[in-house]
Amino acid sequence: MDNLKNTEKNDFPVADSKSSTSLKGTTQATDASDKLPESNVKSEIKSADEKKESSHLKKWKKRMRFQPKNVTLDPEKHEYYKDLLPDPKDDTFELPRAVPVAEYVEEAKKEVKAMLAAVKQHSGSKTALQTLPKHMRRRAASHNVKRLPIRLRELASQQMIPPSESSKTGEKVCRRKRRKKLALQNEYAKRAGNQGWLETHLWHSKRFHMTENSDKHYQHWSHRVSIYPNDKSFRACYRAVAKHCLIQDISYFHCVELTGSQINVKNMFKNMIQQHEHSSVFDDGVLSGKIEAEVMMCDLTCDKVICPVRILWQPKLEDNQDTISKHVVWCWIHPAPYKEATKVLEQLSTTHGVSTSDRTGDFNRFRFTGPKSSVTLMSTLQLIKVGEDLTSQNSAEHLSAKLSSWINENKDEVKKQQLDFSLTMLECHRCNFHKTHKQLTTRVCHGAVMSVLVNDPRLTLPLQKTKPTLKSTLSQEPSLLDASEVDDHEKSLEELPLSPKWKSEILEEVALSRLPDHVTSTRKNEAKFTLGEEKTKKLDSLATPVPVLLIRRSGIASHLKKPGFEGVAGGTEVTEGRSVHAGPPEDFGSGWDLILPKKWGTAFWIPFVYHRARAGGIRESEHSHLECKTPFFPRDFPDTGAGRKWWEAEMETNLKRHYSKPPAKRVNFSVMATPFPFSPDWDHIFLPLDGERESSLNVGSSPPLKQPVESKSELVLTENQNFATSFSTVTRKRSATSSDHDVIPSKKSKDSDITAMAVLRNKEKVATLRRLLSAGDFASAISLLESLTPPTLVCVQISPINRGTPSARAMLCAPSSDDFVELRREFEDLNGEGLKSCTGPVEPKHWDPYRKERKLATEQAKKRRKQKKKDEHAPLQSTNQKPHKFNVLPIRPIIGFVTSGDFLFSYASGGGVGFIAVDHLVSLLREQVTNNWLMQEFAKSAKPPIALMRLIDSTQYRFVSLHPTS
Amino acid sequence: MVRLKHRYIALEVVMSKAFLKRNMKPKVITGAIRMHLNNLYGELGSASIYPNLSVRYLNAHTNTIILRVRRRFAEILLTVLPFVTATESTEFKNTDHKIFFRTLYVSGTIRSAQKFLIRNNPLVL
Repeated sequence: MDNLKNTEKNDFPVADSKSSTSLKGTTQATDASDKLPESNVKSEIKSADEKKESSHLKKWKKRMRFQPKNVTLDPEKHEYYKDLLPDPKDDTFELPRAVPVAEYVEEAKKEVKAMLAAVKQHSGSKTALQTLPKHMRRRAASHNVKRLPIRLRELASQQMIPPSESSKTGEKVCRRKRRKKLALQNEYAKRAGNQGWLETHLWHSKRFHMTENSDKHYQHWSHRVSIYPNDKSFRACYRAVAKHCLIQDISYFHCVELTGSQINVKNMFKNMIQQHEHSSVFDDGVLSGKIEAEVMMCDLTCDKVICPVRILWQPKLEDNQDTISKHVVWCWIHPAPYKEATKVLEQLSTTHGVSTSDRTGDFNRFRFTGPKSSVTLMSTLQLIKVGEDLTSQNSAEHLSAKLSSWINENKDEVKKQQLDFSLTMLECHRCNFHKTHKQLTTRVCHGAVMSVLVNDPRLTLPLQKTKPTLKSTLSQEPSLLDASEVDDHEKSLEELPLSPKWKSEILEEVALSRLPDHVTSTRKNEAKFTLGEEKTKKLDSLATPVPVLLIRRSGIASHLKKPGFEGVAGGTEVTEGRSVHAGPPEDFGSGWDLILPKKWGTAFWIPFVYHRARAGGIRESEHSHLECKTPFFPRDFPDTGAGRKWWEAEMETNLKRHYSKPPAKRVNFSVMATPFPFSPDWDHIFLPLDGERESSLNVGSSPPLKQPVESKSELVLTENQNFATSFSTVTRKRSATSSDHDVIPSKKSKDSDITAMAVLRNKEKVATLRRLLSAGDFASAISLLESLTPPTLVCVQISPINRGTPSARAMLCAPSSDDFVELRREFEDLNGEGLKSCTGPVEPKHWDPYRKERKLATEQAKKRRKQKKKDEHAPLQSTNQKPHKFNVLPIRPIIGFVTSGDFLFSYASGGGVGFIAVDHLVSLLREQVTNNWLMQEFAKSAKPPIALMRLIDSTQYRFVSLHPTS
Repeated sequence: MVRLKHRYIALEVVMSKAFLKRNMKPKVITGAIRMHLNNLYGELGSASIYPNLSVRYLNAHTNTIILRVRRRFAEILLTVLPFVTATESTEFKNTDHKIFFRTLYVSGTIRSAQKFLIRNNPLVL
C-alpha cells in the first residue's frame, strides 16, 4: 500500500501554488465520495471467451451464481470532481491529503464477506452427503443428521425437509387440483367481472371463436361475444335458420331504462327519431306495450343516424293510465354505438325530465331464429302450474315471496297468458308446417310481446339431445290438444303482456331464487327412483316460477315485402311453386326473442341446446342478413359513427395483412387500378367524374395514368385507347343529360366532410322506389331520386346477372355504352349460351406510379447498407411507404362500393349489399332508359339499373343488377 | 471425462492513476497481459494462454483480482506477470497508463484462492 501511495503522489504532485479553491474542491470531493454508493456491481458475463451461445451462457450463469460479483467503480459517478475544476478537460487532480482508510476497510470487509459466502456455499446439485469424500460417508446419514460432520449438518437438515412441505406456500398447485370445479368456479368468478363476460360465456368460449378485446372491431363492445362456432361452417347454421332453429345469446345488447310520464318520453323520442318513423314508434300497440318497435335513433338535430334501437314500453292497466303516472321504457341498444347513444339519451332526458338508468346486466336476451323456434320454445319452456297447491309450493325456501304473492294476486291473468302462449306458438308453428294453414299469415305481428311464467327448464332437461316435435309436446299437455282442435279460440292479443318482470324488486328475488345446478340435478335423480305422487311432489318442490318475455320477430326482409308496399313483381310471387334458389322465403329469419332475468342464462341456454337448437354467434346474424340482402349493423351502416369505426378497424387489419407480406407477394393494386383496396372511400364517389377525381388522388409526384400506353404492347394500347374514347363519350353524355345535377354535389362535397353523408333510410321511399323500378316506371323513379338532397347514398342489393361473387370493398363501376354493345353481342350470339356466356369487360393493366420510387428505394437501401458497413453513424432513413390509397383510377369510374357480400345459399349465387351515390344511380338509370334492347329484351333476365362490379384483386368486371333496399 | 485443470492466481493491481482505477475492467487487465505476453513469448505464448485467460474476480476498491489460466500454461503466465508495466495503448485513446501486478497466491481451485483472500485481507489491514 505504501508503494501505491507513493506512486500516486508522484504522478499527482500536489500543486501548492494552486489556489485554495481547488483544495476546497478536493475536500468537498472526499466528503461527497462518502455519500456516493461505493460500488457498482456488474456481472461479468460477457468476458471474451464466454460469448458463445445462450445455452453456454445459461450454464455459465448457473455455475457462477454463487460466485462473488466483480466490483468496479462507476466512472460517471466518480467524475463529479470535474464540475469543480476550472477546466473540465483537465483530469489531473490532486490527491487527498489523507488516505481514506475507513473506506478501504469497509470494502475489504465486504470482500471478505463475499468470499466467505462463496467458500461456504455448497456448490451445485450435490447433496450434503455427496460433498463428503467416500470414506467419510455413512449409510444412515440420510436419516440421521448427526452422522454427518458438524459443518455439513445445517445444510443437511435443510435438505432433509421433503420438497412438498417446503413448497406448501409455493405458487405451483398441481393441475388436477387447479381444475377442480370449485377452484375453477372461483377463478372464473374472478375473471368474469373485469372482462365483460356474459352468463353463457364459459359455454361459448369452449365452442366458439370469441371476440378479442384487442380487436379494434369489438373494442368498444364492453363484452366478449361469440363470433362463430368451431364445429361447423355457416352452412349448418344456415340450415338451422332456414329449416330448424338457431339460438343466439344477444345479451350484449345494452338495455337503457327510461322512466317518466308518457308525454315526456314521447317528446323525447320525437327529438331522436326521424319524422318518417314516428308512426311506428307512436303506434297504439307500441305505447300500450304490446309491440316492441325497432327504429333508427338519431342525434339531437335528427340528421345524423346513430344506430337502430328497440323500444319496449311497460304495459299499464287501464285504470292506472294517467298522463302523470310513471311509465317505464326499455331501449335496447347495440354495444358499438352505446356511448354515442347514451350521450344523446342523457342530454334529452335532462331536458325532458326523464330519468335514465342502465339495466344491461339485469336481463339475458336470447334470439331464436327459424321455423322450428316456436316448437322448441314450447317444448323447453314448461309452464308453471298455477293452482290451489301454489301455497304448498311456497313452502320451498328458495321461492321468492314477492313473486308468489304477485302470482296469487293475478292468478287469472297468469293462466290466460299461459294459454295464450301455447296457442300462439301453436299457430306460429302451424303457419310454417301444416299444409292447411300454410296460406295463412300469422296474426302475430312483428314485435308482438308476450309475457309468460315458466318453470325452471332444467327439470325437463332430456338425457340426450332430442329434437322437439309438436306431437310430443302436445302429448304432455292433453288440455292443449283439445284447445288446439278448437281452432276458433279467442285470441287474446288484446291482452296486455303484464309481467312481474317490470318490477325490479321482484326481479332481484327471481335472480336469487335460482337453485344451483347440482341441487336440481341431484334432487331430480332422487325423484327418478320414486313413483307416483311422490315423484310429482319431489319435482314440484324444485319448481321455480321465472317470468320471461317473448318478442316476435318476423323475417329479416319482411319490411320490404309488406303488402302495402308491394310492387307488381313482389306481389305476384307464388309461394307454392317457387324455386329453391329464388332467394330466401318471406319469413326467412323469423323467430322469437326471449328476455330472461339475470342469473338464469345458463339454466335456460343448456336445455335449449339439448332441444336441438343450434347455437350461433355474430357471424350467423351477419350472414342471415346477407342472405336477405339487407344491411347489417354496424358493417353496412357507413354513415353512422359505429359503422365508420368498423371500417377504420377493417382498414387497419387489411393494411396489416397486406403489408405483412413481402413486396413480391403483395397484390399490386396500382396495376389493378384499385385505388381503395382497404376500405371504401365515400368521399371519392361524391366527386364529379372529370378531372377532379384524378387530381384528388394525385397528391404525390407520380406520373400520369396514360404513361403505359407508349411502353406497353400494342394490344394493350389499342384496347386502352378504345376504352378511353368510349369512357370520354360516356362522361360527355352524362354531363349533357344531367349537367346541372352533377355540379351540385361536387360543390357540397368540397365544403362538407364525410360526416354530412346521408343514406336513404326512409322505408316508405325505398319501398316506392322498389315498386317503381320493378314496374319499369323509371321516369318517376328518377324524379324521386333527384328529390333527395345530396350527397346521399342509396343502399342497394347486388345480384350478379350470371357469375361473380361480391365481397366487401369491391367497387361498383359505371358501364360504358360499349360495354352494353358487347353484352348484347355476347347475349345474342347463336353459338353462345345466352346469359351464361356473358362475361363482363376487363380492366387493362395500368402503369404503377410507385414503381420508379420503389426501385429507387431498394437501390438506396442497398447503398445505405454498404455505407453502414463503412460508417456506423450514418443516419437511418425509413423510406418504407405504406400507402392507404393508390393513385391509379380505373377506366370505368367508381360509383359505389360493396360493403358485404358472399355466396348466398338461398340464391345459389353470389350476392351482397352495397352503397351507391344517388346522382350516379340517376345517371345510370338515365343512360339505360335510352337503351331499348336493355329495357325490353334483357330486362327479362336482369332488371336495370345494371352496373359493373369488380373485386379489389381482380381485373374482371361483372354485370350486376341493383335493387334499392333499406 | 477429461477434467480441465486450472490455476487460479490472486493478484494485487498497482495502478499509476486514479483514472485507471475508475476504469478498471477485466478487459483492461487481460489486454495489458496480452501485450506483454506477446512481447515475451511471441504468438505461440499468447495463443496458448490468452483464449483461456479469464478474470474470475475483480475488485476495484481493494485492487484484487483472481485470474484463471490452464494449468499447463500457468508457469508462462506467472513469468510474464512481473513484466507487465502498462496497459494496452489502444484501450485509452493511445495513451498507456502504468500498471503492475503483485502476485499474491497461486492455487488449484477458486475456493482456495477465495480462502486466501479471506486470510489476506485482515493481514493487509
